[in-house]
Amino acid sequence: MRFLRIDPSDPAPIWSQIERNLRRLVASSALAPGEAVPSVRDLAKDLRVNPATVAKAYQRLADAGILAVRRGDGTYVAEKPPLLARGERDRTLRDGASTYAALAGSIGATQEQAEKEIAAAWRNQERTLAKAPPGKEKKEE
Amino acid sequence: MSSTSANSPAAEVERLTVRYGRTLACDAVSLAVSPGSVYALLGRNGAGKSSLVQCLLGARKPSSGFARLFGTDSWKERARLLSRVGVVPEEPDAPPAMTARQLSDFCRRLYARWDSAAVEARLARFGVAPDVAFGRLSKGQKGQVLLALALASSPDLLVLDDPTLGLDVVARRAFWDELLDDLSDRGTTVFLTTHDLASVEGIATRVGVLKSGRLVVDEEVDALKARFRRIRYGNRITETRTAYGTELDQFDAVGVKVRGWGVEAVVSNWDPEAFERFRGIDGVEDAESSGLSLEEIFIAVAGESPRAEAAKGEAR
Amino acid sequence: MRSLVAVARREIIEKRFVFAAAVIAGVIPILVPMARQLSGDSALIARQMTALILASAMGAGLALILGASLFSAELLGKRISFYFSKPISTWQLWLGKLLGATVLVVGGMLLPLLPTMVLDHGLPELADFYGGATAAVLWAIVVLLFGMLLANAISISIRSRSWLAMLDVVACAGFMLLGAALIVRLIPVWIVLFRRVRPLYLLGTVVLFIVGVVLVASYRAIAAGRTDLKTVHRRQFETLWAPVGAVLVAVAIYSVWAFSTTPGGVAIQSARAAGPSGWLWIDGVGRGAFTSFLYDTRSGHSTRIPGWNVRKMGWSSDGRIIVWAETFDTRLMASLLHVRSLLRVSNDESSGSGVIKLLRMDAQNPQVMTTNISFPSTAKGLFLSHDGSRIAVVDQDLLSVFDQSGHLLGAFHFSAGGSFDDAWFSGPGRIRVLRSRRRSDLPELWLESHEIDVSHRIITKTGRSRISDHGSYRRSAAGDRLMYRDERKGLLSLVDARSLVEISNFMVTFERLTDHDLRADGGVILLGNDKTDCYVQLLSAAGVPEGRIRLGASAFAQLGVETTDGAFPVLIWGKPGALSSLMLIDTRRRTAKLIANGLHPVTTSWFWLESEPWPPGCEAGKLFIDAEGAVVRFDPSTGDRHTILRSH
Repeated sequence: MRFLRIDPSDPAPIWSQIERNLRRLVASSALAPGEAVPSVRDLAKDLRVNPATVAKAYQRLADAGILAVRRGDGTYVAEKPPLLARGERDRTLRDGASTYAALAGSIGATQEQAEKEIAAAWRNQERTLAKAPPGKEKKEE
Repeated sequence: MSSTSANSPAAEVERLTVRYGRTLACDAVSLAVSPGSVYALLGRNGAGKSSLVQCLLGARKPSSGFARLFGTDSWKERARLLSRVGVVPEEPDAPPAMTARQLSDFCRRLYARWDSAAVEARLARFGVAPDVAFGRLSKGQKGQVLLALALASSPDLLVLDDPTLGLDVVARRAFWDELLDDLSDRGTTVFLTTHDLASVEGIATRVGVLKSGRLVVDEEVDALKARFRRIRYGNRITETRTAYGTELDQFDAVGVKVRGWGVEAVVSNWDPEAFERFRGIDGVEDAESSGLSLEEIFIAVAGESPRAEAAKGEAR
Repeated sequence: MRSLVAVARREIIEKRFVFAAAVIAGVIPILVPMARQLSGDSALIARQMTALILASAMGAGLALILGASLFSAELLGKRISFYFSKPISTWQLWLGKLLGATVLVVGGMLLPLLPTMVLDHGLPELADFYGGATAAVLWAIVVLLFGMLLANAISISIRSRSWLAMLDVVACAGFMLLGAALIVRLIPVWIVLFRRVRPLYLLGTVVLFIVGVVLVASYRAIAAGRTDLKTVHRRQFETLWAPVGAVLVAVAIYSVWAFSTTPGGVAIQSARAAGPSGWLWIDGVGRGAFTSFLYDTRSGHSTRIPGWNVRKMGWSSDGRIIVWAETFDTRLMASLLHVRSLLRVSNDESSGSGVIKLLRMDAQNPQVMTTNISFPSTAKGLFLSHDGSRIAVVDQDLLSVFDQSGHLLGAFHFSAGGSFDDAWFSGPGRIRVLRSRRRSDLPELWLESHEIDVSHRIITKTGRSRISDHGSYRRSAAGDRLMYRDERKGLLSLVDARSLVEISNFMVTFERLTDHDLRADGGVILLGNDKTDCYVQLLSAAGVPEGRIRLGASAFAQLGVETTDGAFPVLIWGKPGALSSLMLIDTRRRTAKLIANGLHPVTTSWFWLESEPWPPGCEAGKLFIDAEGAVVRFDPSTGDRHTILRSH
């Protein structure tokens, strides 16, 4: 899955990294409602993590109503996944923005230049998501 | 002696001590592998990992203490207990004249359940010819054959003693993938020792670190990763900007390096609130923290990195 | 069981080439007679012998090769863990591997016989040699199993490369030496044991014990050491040597215990006089061992002697010094028992030779000295001077005289062609020698009397006389006269020992003469019998018959030692199982009376130990052995009787 990465130096547990990433993918509609997510087995092999860890993340997402497990069929994004809580979304955006602003400042870019790049990246991402449905591609490190 | 029960750890050692003459290989080590977990025992060469595994498998008698499988003493009840255990040894030990198929046929007679087809299927996935004598296979293929054999009896416990030692990247990858498949299918309990830290990073649920025969770490991976972090900061507390004082004590620093720009420390007791207060200390500048990989934690705990050690071995 | 079969099966399959090689080897016996163009019986014998030799070689070779790789190869290669990491119990692994190797070895041994057996309808040659092919094969399997286990043990020892391997060698050599020493030392025990147990059974027990120990050691080593070669070896060392050592030490302790018996602790089998003064040579069985003692009936002192090795014995007149020749049966025994003595004996020793030992009553305690005088296997005589200070050894044509410390005082050569009949000290520094000689040109046999003056080293021939080819003589206690008996003519002659001049002669009228002696008064006493009864005949020094007394119905009688008042105890043997009786013959009153039943004098001849001329009234003449085997002092004149030494 293209946008799912595990960072070994991230102190957050792997199951929580998987959960967070999937939440983001769903929130950003990279994973559309009703779309199949990889099986525990495939994702574990893709990420090279313990299947129990993946299962734990899936279980939590299913409990939160973001994923739906259809017995004998597989796991899917729920038809109406609850969105990120407003507070959480704001905080996540703020964290990312401040990191980006610090980076831009440290290389001497102006605010205008930075905002232009943000807009370009946004457009680019929407184009990519429309073209390539996630799930089947593997990304080697 | 306690009998086998569902609550017993799949594998456990208790105050295990192993001596070779005056050398102490294991010094009162206690650890337990709970059912369903993947326990990775790490340690540098000669730290006592193999001695512990041998005791656990009933192949060596502990000098003192106990080694148990499923709650039963493994020295006394070795044969009975091993019918539930699959083993991949550090050194390939199958009779060199036998082919993989013959080995499978031999083992079939020893176990109550044996899936010959699964052996064939795994060998096919590995690309190992089933009719070539074991002794003529490459080291990687030998390990793969032994894993196929270890899994064919659907064991309740897998014991892997540094199974990927000396294997190339591709063989290693195939080995772990096969293990992951089995974990997905059956949720096998695994006890393994390894130097391949990157590979077990996401697989292990619990980690133990042996250092000169003593167990210095025995912890869930998540907890371990939450506790260990790297802190970097510029130091203005003292006259010399690169020195450091007692400000790191609260984090239980295990390794501190003084660099040109400031101080870099690996701490074993990281706490976000304490870190916020640390940032506020007058004289601490630009403090930042970052997470550590299992390998970095291991190096901090056990000393040199396994890679550096291997390089040293080659240089010798 | 399943695992056991699986392990055995695996071993056999892996080394199945052994069978192929054996089958190919089976063709060789058929080719041999063809190549040598033999036919008929000689072809059969050649074929059978080739097949047997081939089978033995294959069996032995395979046992050693497969035994050496039974466990040690996989232990050393760290591959034994393959089995130990499987649900195979240790005994199934051990037995499975042993079974597999045994099948390979036995198959490798029997297969080469097969073509020959088919061709010849069996193995007639093997049956001829071993009295049955089945028994021979069973024996071979036991031997091969032992060889296999031994090779396994040795290879584990060598491959462990630990200092224990050195100790293995030391233990093996040490225990073998100890065992050999014990086997020799325990000869007195074997003598007793082999009367009850067949030696083959005893040997079988020892073999089974050793095979058992090796078998148990091979299992315990694997069970305790499992994957660790050093522990395997350590446990093998313990299990192998502990029982062997324990048994050997136990046997050694037993031998010390068994050989520390006293004359009072043995079942006496025989007692005979070792001198006139009351010393006895007692043979008996105590604590399972056959033991011999020199025992002084007056003081109770005793000393052990290896009775079965004593060849000759002599004593001083007062009986305070006893000398004997002790031989070694074999060189091994000699080296083990008497290394010190061996170094002293001369180079031309053959087996059966020995050294001379001396017992001296010093300060009331008997002391045994080993002299450096050798006693050659050809030697015939050994005697002491009256005072015991001189030792004379008679060997072929040489008479040597030594003092007690072994210094040669004189060596006296006699011309070849004669032989020593008797020699004794006739006075201080003087030896009387009787030699019989056949002159080359004449058929007659001559007896020659010589006198040796030891200090001047002079031999003087003092007399000679023609004698019969079938004769024997007996000297008087004082050594001045001889009684010569011509068995063919039935004639007895009294002869002067110095000049060999006849004093008197008389015809023996008995159908059979059983014993005779010279009396202190110069007369002669004869014992003899006709078909039913036993008689005493008394004769004067001049040969005049003085009386004849019927003693009773008996086939055999023997004389005891004359008492101071001229009476002779006579042992009258009864019928088998019945008690003998002892009668006293008063030569002066010419009467005979029964004085005791079941008492045997200790002074009578005993096989090679010829009866000495005992001085009248000597202590030895009053010693008897009773029906229970006890040593009894019994004075024939007074009838005083008491038991000195009981038999256990």
